[in-house]
Amino acid sequence: MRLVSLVAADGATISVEQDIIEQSGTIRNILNDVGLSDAAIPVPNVSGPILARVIDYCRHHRNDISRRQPQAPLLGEENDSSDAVTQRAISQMDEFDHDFCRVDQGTLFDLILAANFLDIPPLLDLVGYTVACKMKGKSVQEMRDTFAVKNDFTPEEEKQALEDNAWVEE
Amino acid sequence: MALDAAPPAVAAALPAELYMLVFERLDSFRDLCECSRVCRRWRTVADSDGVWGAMLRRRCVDVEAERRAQAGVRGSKAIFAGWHRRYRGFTDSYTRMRRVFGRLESWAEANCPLLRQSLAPGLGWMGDEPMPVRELLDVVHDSPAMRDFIMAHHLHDGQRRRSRYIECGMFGTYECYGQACSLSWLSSRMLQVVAIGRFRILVFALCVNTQNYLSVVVGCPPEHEAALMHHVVQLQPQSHRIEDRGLFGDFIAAYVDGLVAGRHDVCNGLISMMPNAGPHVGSSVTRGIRTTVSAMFCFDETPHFRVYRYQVTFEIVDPAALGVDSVQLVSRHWLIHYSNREYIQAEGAGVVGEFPIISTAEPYFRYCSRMRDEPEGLVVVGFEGRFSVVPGTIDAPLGPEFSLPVPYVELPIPMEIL
Repeated sequence: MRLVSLVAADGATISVEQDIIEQSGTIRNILNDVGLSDAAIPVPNVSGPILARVIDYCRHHRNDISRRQPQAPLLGEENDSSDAVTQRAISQMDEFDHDFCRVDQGTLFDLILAANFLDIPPLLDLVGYTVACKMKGKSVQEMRDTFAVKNDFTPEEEKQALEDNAWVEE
Repeated sequence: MALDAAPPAVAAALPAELYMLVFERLDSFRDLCECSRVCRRWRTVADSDGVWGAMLRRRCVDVEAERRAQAGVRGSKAIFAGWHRRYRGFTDSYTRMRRVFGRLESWAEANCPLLRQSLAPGLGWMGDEPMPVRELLDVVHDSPAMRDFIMAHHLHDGQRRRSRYIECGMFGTYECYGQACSLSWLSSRMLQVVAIGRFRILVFALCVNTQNYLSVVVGCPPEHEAALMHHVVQLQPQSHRIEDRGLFGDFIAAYVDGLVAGRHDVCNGLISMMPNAGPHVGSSVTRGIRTTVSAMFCFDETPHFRVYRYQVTFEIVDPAALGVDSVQLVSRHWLIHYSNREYIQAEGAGVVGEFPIISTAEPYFRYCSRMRDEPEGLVVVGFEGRFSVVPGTIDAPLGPEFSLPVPYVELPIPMEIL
């Protein structure tokens, strides 16, 4: 099985089997263009440690057939409730996936950006939903605390934001 | 590694793109609105068209209809807010029924165009033109269980009719001994509440030929309220036999699921009322011919003893296994089971007076007949049997007769309300 070389943003070079890294739509496209060339593929937006984690994920899920296909909705899936889609994403999480997401926030965010850049929809869903779950049901202040975000609204802006969103309580 | 511990100013430095990816995955619009109040950065992304476009799709909102109804509205979030206001209290029903009818429309477009064409435009919403749904509410009092029903009529006000009889009934058709039944969905103008004993039922689907119907219980004795109030039922007046099909929302979702899953054949463009799969269906394949028997209880027949309608379908599914171009039906043999464990054999030549030929040119034959309790008090519970067919024709056989067996079919026994 052919080995592909990837060069991360920090210069680190990682080799990975082609069939594993082809779960990334971005890499798949590059390989199609590049053909049989052995040149290393630059992955400028992703650091070495994050790239290594993404490859771990792809390696664990290498045998999941569904991950190879473009993510077209299954018949009826486009009609599923948002809850059903989330439930399915969560129910498809195995123990590896749960452990995979037990990282600090910074790493989670980096993984989202990496999954988006590398076009790996199941990974994007996994980490995306994980962060979305951390926002679920939280009040404004709770979200600021969880995500270490400073309130940079002026008092008028804050009042405006409250009014603009008041319709939610009707 | 502390998990939720606030990392130093990490979140503030993140690109908007990342927030989009997360916000798009929030289930609840309430959470999205909370995000909008966190800080300026979050507000820009949480209020964006991309994110609210995703939310509108999640809730199956008809964006074009909302633009027309909310004149001058701009931006996906405003459309959503306006939708939420217009359908206050009904938003969950809206999403649920839009989903169900969306699936029905797609299925019908591909499999049953007659049905698709017959679905009438819906009633206008409160205060809109024409035919506001408020008039429907005079007949159907608003309550959580009836919201799905009201919303269904907002999406499609029943089936269009050019005459009393609608050929392609939404809830199925059958033909039995020359009597055609087409159970069609009534428009709101034709809804009526009927009193049956201590029940009041709202009839929403009807066949004018056979008086077969579907209804929602809108009034019932206190002892049955918990189990039956607002349920879709068929109820036989004098005998008080009842079939409970659940709350309207659940009933219509299950029915559409059945259509989409192919559990109802579509023959000559009409939906077969009797399913081809389930507990009251027996099916087997012999020498490439599939024989399917499907039974249902007749609420529209005499209440004095129970009558069941059953439908038999023959279909050549594997011409190679059959080996000949055609077979002719010679005789039928039934073993009818009764509740006291007795059984009776019933045999006869042909079926419904015919000796049909099933051939590769016409590989499909169906007929419908009736089964009932014996007048002496024997109560029928199920039946099985076989058909004898001959390869070629009876006059010019191409081989010996063989049997098409039918496995035991359990009859759907209706509940009795005392």
